Amino acid sequence: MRGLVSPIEICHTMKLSAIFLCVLCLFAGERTARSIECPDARLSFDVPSEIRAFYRNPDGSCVQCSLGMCGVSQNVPNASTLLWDTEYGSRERGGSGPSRVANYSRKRGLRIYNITGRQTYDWLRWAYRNGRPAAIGAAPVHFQTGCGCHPKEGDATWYVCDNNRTGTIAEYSQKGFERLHESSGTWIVILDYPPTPPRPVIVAWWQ
Amino acid sequence: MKRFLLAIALGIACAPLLVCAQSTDEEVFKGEVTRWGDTVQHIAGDERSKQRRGDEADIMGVPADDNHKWFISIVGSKGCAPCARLRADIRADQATQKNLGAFITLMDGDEMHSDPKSSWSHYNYFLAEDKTQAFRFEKLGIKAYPTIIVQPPLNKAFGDPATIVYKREGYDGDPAKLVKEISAAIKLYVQKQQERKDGGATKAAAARHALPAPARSEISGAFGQNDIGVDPPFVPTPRVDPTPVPNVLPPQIPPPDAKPTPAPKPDATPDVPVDAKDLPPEAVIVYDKNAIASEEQARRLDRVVEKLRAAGKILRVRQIDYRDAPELDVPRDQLPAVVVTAEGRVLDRLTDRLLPFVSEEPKEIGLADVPWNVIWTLITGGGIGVGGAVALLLFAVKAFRAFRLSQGKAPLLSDEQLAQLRAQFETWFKPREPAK
Repeated sequence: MRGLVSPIEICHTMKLSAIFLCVLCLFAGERTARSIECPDARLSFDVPSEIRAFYRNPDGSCVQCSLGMCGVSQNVPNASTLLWDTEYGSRERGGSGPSRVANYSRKRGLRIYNITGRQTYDWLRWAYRNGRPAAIGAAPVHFQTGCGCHPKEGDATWYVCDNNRTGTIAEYSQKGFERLHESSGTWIVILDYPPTPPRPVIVAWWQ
Repeated sequence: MKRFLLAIALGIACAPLLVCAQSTDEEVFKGEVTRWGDTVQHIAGDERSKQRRGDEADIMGVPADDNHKWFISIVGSKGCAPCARLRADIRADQATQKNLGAFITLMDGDEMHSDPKSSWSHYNYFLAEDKTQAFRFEKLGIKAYPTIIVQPPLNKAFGDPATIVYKREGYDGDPAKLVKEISAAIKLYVQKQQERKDGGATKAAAARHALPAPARSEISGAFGQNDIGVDPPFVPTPRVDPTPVPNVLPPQIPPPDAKPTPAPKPDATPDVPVDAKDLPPEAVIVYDKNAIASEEQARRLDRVVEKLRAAGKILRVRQIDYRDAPELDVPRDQLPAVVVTAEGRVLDRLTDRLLPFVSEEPKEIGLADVPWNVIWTLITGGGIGVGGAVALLLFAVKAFRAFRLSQGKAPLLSDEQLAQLRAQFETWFKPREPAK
């Protein structure tokens, strides 16, 4: 009968589609299908996915969502409560630029490094080397949370959590991350607070 | 049918891209990011603290690494008296840098965190009521507050940073005792680490000066020894110090009663003079640390610095209290001010009086800027007076300046000179209050 397709043709088409999907993945920022989750020694960020869900981007507040996640990771309630009205200050919603972030940081007494331009990569490596995440420009007019890179020097794998998809921490190759970061205009914000330690574990080291 | 299946596959493949695309506009002000260029800005707290410490200045490079610092974490609870006592003791020790102050230097105005630059350790205070932090300690089964936890540095110089080197539940109000316990635990841990590395040679050496192994009955309940099956090293300070560990640099643990290190003696040899030509151009923001600058003043300062940088006149920006820089010669009533220096010489002083004129955004001269009332008076044969003449003169200067700039030529009067001129005219012609 006309219109019926044989199983062989279906398989052939599916094979073509699978190849196409893989190629698309390669070009679409070189993200991999592997998943990474907190806690992980490769990350300079530790926030479980159920907490990250609080920072899902509701209304174009990606900068504050990213800073909020950094605030949780570094135990800075002043930053982690940016999206809501709290004793630390009124909610900060909507789009932001470096000046707006500087203004509300001053108002709230929040200590930050506010960095634009070519030196963002040096600062990111410093932050990750020293146990700190960063809020980073990633993708056109969007901000995400930079969770780390491994190894810390050279051609590394970079880890980023998107507040539009808080359930996953994506991995990017060096080139993929550069494309992602530079599409936004290279701007990052790092909280100027000490890092938090890894989740403590009792080990019988005295024996 | 084949095309239909391929179309479905394409649609599935493109779905992630649609999710990635931002549905909201202006989430990040990219134009502003581009305008900022290469900038590193350090916001160090609220406006008053900014003016007080003067540390909101441009930074040239990344800070020094601090992943060699040990971690001290305290888990406390609201309404917990021992927690409040411990925090008060940490606060009290800040001035003397003794006991807990030797280990923890608090961030200015923040009792939950240490200062990342100056503190010996990375200190964090976690609230048990903060649900966003509960995940960190859920496996420890903390039963009492405060709980004090010490962990090794992130750089793994002393092993896995997740390892608990010291843990104590409760606080009896004796900071010196707490510090001794922490010091002893760290030393013991470091010794054990070294023993593992050198295959027991150090252990054999230590056995010759064996520490009395504490029996379980000796371990005080005040240390929170309630974990069945776990034998943590919550022991009293050993009577005999552990054998010095060969080839290991123990961490530089400040003793509980550390005195401030005296300043080193000046060198007998004279300092090599710095060549003035080596001093880079810079803008020095001079302020009064006891005064609070307004938002408008802060914005003017930012704009002036931006203009200087855009003109290529400065490479570095720093801030200084006027008392610490008498050589810059800025009177207190003219603060805040921007002093431009190069090669060790003062090139210009933009005091608070001049800043409003220098910092204003340049605008094109338009019809609205023409002093029409003065011109009309002239046409109708009236006397314009000195004020009118000055208004005409200033307009002529501005118009000629704008013309030269549009031709790509340098103006005859610099921004600073024009600002001084305007300020002087304003002073002369400022309306006087009627005498009472």
